[in-house]
Amino acid sequence: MREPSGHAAGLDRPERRLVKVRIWLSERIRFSEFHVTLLWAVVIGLAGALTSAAFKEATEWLHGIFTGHHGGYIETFRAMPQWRRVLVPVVGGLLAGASLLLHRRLKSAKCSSDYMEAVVVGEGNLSARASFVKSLSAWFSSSSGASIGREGPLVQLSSVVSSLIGRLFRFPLARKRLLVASGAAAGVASAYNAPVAGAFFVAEIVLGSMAVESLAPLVVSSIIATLATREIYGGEAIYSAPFFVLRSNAEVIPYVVLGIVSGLLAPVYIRLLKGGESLFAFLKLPLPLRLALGGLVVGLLAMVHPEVTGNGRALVFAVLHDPGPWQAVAVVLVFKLLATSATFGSGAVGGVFTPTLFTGAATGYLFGAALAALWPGAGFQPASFGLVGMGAFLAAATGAPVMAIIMLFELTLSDQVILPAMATSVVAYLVTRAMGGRLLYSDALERKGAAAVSQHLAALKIDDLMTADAAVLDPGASFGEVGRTFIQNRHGSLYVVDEDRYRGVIALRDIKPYLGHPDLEQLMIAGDVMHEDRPRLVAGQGMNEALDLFSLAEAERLPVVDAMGRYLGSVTRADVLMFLAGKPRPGEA
Amino acid sequence: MLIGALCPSLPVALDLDAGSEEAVIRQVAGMLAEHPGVKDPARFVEAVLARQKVQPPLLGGGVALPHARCGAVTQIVAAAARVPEPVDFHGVPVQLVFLFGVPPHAVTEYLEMTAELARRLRDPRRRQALLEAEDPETFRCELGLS
Repeated sequence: MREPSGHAAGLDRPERRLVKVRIWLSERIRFSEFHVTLLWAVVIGLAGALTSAAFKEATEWLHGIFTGHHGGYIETFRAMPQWRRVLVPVVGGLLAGASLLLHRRLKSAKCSSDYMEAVVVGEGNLSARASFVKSLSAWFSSSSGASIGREGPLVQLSSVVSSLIGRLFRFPLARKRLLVASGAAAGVASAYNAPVAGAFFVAEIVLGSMAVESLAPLVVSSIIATLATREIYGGEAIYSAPFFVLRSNAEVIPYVVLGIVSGLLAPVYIRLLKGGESLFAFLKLPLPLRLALGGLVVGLLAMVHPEVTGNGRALVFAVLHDPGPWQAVAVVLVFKLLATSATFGSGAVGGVFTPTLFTGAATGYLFGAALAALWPGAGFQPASFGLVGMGAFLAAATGAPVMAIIMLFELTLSDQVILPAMATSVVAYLVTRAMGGRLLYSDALERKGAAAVSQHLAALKIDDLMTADAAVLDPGASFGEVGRTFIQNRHGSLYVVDEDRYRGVIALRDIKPYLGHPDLEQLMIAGDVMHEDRPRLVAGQGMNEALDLFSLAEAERLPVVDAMGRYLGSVTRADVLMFLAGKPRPGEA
Repeated sequence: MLIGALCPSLPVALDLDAGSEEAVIRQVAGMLAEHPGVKDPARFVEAVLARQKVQPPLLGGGVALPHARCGAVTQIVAAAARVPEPVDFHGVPVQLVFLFGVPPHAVTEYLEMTAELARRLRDPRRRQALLEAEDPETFRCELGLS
């Protein structure tokens, strides 16, 4: 016979200290999955800013190769001979189209290549290869002067990095989707140096929710992305605003009228873009030729007005500061609309954000110029109307007035503009909505048959949010092993699983006074200290049912078992809340 | 605290006549068969024996603490015994046995009970006093001293 083997299976002194630290922390800091998601949002914000910066640099480099000059689109195109003004967008279109052909082959049914689709209707899975090739196409288009914004690929690249992180660490569905959305927010924030608008863009347009569970990670990633971008490029406003002052409250009235005008014109603008798309689709050309044709239209327009090339950022700046006569603004507006319609219609990858800003600014400016001509003594400043019109048009076209108001402020850093911008943007948005007009981004989703997939998402069950935990205990695990497992995990509870059967849960708060007790390590086992009667989720349960059970159990995490009582994994309350916060609204894509 | 409350009425068998681990456990558990807190004595003893098989709770110094948390008891119940010659408990010689049962919901009381018993029985002088106790009352008094 022998004596028991002392504390061989027990905790040694450093481990006991760790247990004490672990308990001290758990009593003071309630660290949930939601906080972990916020930490990941920091990583994603940084990754988003770096990929955005890389894309911007790569675009400028290729633009230099294409045009033989370095600088803004308008200057470089102006410096080129006429034949080259046509050739560059055509060659860029051919290359962009060829890339899209490859993208079509790489597209898979399981993984989307569209970040909005991945977040709203998908499961947060973005195909890396397809996204890269899509960004390659956008790179050729942007660099060759296509009349399209760069935010599309910037958002795409940031989102795909997030999706890859989500898949690498096997995040449950809700967190993966939210992190892809955070990547998108980081992309918008770094593209426009606009942290708040970046978060609200995704919250309002993509998620359709302002709940804290979903907004907070977006805000965190946007802030980090903006800070990183400012570190690289500096922190000036993208469009430094002209001096803006509201001299009397009555002056809000013409801005409200501008809101109505913008609200009426935004659907026309969207129809123009869609019209271009239908026209190109009618031609049934192979993709490289279709995009080359789009490039040809831009090139021909650039022969007369090189201002039509690029995203239109320089044009916005010109309208706000040195627009010249109103007739010139009107002509450039028409040319730019045609060029954007041709580029967008040909299927070029990119965004229409900046072209939309220019259309709004030019419309506002022309409206202001008309008022100034009608009432010369009233002191109307057309550039001020251009500034406010930019936000109003954006609000109406995107259906996201909050984002538009914030974006206008962040783009111009002018606080004076907030009051008229709020009035004008909300009015423009309401007018467009009242007309039943289509919105820029909802269309993109509808085309992809999002409604059907959205229903699938709404019908998702609790097991879709589940994480398969590696940290489970055998009922016969020693008390020392229980302590060690608590040190290695941040959860306040551990599940006891016998073979594959769920047996019960050990709560840290029950056992914490005894974790450092050396004798218990050989006297107690996991099975002694578990609760068998605590609530558990059953695979197949709906989200609302799960939320009720979470409230009843007052638990941060619950186990999931199948009908036979086999342990499948666990779901956190934060994941259910994040899912419900980011869930598509009924009847919407 | 729990031991202090249990001690005055703790069933104690000195010089228990049993030759094996299972026989000792069955006899000590049998001392609780009439206890109002034990609603199913047979199930209780089976639960203790099943728990022994997973990992026998042995303190060292010839002390065993067989126990179980099960629905067969409705409150914490305990009994103690001493065997004249050491009995083999999974290869370990045992002379003092403290058997207890805990209802399913009483996880923290279970830990408290075990920790307190272990603390008291770790003391070699107390163990010696328990081995030398001439009657159950002395045994209870020695165990109950905090």
